[in-house]
Amino acid sequence: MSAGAERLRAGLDRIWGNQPGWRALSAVNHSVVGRRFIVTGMVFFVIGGLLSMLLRTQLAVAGNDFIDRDTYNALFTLHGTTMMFLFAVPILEGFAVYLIPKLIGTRDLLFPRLGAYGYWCYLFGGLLLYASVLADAMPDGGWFMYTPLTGPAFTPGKSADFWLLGVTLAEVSAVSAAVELVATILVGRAPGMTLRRMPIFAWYMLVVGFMILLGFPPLILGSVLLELERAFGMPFYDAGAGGDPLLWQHLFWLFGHPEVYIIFLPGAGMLATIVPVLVQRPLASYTWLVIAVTATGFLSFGLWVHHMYATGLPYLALSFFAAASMAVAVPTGIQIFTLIATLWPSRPKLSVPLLYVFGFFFIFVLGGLTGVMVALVPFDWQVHDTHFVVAHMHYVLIGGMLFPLFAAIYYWLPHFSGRLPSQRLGYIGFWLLFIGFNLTFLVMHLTGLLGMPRRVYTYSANLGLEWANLVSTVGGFVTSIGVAAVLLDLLLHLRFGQVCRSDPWKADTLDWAMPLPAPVYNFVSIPRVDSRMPLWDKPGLTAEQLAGDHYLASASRGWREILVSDPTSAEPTQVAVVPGNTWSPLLLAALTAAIFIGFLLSAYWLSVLALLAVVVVAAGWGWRRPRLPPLVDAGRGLTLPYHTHHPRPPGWWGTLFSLLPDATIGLSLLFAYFYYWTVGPGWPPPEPVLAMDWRVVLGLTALVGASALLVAARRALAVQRVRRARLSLALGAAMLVLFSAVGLVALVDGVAASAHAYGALVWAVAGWLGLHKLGCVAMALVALPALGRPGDEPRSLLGIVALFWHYSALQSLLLLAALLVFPRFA
Amino acid sequence: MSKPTKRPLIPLLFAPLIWGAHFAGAYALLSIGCALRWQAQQWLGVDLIRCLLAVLTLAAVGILGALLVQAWRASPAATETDEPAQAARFFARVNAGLALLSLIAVLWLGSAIAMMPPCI
Repeated sequence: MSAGAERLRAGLDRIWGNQPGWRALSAVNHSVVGRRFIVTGMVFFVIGGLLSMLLRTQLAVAGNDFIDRDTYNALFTLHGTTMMFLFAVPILEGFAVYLIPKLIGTRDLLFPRLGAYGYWCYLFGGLLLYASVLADAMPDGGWFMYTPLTGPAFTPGKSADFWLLGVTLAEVSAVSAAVELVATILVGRAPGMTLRRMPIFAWYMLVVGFMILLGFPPLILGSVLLELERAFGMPFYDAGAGGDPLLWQHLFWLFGHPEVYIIFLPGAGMLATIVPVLVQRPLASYTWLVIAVTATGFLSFGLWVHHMYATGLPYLALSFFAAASMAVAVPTGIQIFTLIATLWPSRPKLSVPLLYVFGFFFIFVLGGLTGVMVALVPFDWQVHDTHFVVAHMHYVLIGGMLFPLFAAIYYWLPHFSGRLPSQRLGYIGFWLLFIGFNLTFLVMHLTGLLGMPRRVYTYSANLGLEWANLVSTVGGFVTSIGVAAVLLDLLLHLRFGQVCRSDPWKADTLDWAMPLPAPVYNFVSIPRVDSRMPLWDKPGLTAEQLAGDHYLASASRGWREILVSDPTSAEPTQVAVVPGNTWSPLLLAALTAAIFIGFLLSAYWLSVLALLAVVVVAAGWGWRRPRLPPLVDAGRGLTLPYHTHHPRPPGWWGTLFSLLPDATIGLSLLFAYFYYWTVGPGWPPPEPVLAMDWRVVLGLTALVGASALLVAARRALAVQRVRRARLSLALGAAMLVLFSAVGLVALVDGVAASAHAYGALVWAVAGWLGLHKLGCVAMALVALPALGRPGDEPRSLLGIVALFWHYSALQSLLLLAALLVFPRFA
Repeated sequence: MSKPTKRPLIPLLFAPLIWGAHFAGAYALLSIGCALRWQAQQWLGVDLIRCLLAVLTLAAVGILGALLVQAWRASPAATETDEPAQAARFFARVNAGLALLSLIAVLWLGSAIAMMPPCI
């Protein structure tokens, strides 16, 4: 390597490097954040696994008293919650956070602070959930926390609150990671990497990212409403006061079924990346995989009621969901067959990752087949709430997620450590896991068919269930030994693994176009890509990027620079400077956690103070914008503007995708409202229809006026009339304060929040809109002093404010129309 | 020579969104119809709810069929091998595949309307 290239790498190391010692906690780089997600996820996986061992020990023999009923209830609740919320989703997102920038040829995700914030929220959420063990208040309502069991009447105390608050905090993490993944995949790709050249894993994560943005908010809303019911007696789920426990099930499964595919698709995407490399031939059909993953993403939102077949819905409605549940097998099958077709003509070496690929085929396909069985309403009624469903679920989740995850770990391990794991220990781990898993769960189908119910801590000796349960328990321990062997292999390889400094697989994707372990900045220069398999079609690309022959091969400016490209053509449009090491994500996450802890302690003043502090700190992120020159030499003769001089900076894209989950929460509120009106007990509400008095009219006028003033501000700024722009923006913010202080207060004036679900919903909508206006005003306060800063593109910052502000106005009008206008015609 | 598609991801959503609109519309229509007891009203010997569901399904099938044909026709000739043509061909195939899968899903759901009575 030339001296110039050495200097360049040393410079990049200095710019992108993390702080040593405890100050490493301030790191925000995607590799660090991704690794933290993965390691923390593995820790929770081990904890969840140990809990399952306790459960299996209890069920090993009939009438066992190893653990009592209440402890059993708490353990299966924590097991399911840990595996779904603290292991499966975070670890897969962690992999995506780590891999996506490397696969698409960039140095970092677009919003490193958001990624770090997400990680801390996840960690704090997990710790909050497990704090319930120390507080002797373990949640025990099952991982889906059905109401009314988990309402204040039947679960007094704080156990359910630990679940609601801990899990919601972890969900904030999932949503924030999805925002940055979607934005980065769309506008952060290497030059020339058009959509049809994108690595297949990026397609998968793009779809999964959108699924998270649309799928998680219903549960976030459902959890917030349940917490409000528990904390303030707002009866959203109380059938005696106009609420409906089934609304919880709808909101939960609106999240819960897409969740299954949110877990499966990243695993399938990893396999679609790995399999072609292991057999050294391209995917059998990239196009059909793109079709299938997109179709799966959509269809997965039409399945939620198949968890509710036994709730008394009309048969025809059930048949709609049965049809969708069967239809989703078609795109899922396309994915399986594409992988099989890729493998078919080859004679690959049976490496450890490939073993896990075959394990995936065997286990996931069986889980898929029993999935089609339980999609049939009459069959589902027979096995509902039995161990058959437990077996099916584990075949799908372990087959569709854990086996692909382990394949991915073994495949990408040299990336993390620069070493290779032990082949022998890898084989032993796989076979123990595979045999143990099937021993546990294959026989469990029979246990369920024989009638053994789920979530029951023991069974009688005369039911014929003993041998099957004993086999499952033995299998469970064999599985655990297999997992232990894998973990041991991972630990030992860090010290004893064979050193591996470059791609051991002869891969086709950019993630291997770098020395191992991967440098913190990924690429010395951002490579131009001309094909879908860049390293196979251009073998010299790695050497070129390492020599600094491509874009942004400079460390002289001292900033962390990445390219931002057009979503379609992938041609660079700007250079973004992303933040370096900072404590602000940790601080923001701690403050976010304080909001939740305030609820847990019934110290609502703490929640309010923490919320205000969150707004201030988050606003500070926008406040500290780097002062950058207008243009920069991006290399290879390309001159680009810095992001502060571009009308659509990364922040605009981030805001755009943040609106999706926000809008979904708004739509879920509307769904709840119309659901109540349609089938809710005690509806229409006994209270009078909300009055459209002068205060409401004034508020609505102020709301529309605020948006008009923002439009005026943008026009004024476009012609350099900075003072007029500032005045318009300030007046607009004042209008929003007026809307909240007069219009929203008038809306809830005289409406009791705890007497009927209607009043509770009106208060919830008012609170939701008030929070938005707080956000709008905070954004305006950040933008005001920055307007007209010399050299800045005028549309840049105000464009982001406008996006959120106008959207928020539209959502307000929609929700208020539902509350104020609809009842007059209902 | 083909022109590059400016925003290819947006048309990619059309067919799945039609499926989603049909699915959500059918569920909402059934729920509201049952709440308002529309099943008591007959139209051509069939209850009103299933009549409306059939109309909704036919509309979705028609739109998806049109999208399928349009996507099929949008694919450039195989002789065109430049990058815009290849991109246009890729998205035409993806759009056609999604329209086909959405059509199958809508017809599959629609078959239940013909076989099952509402509101029971």
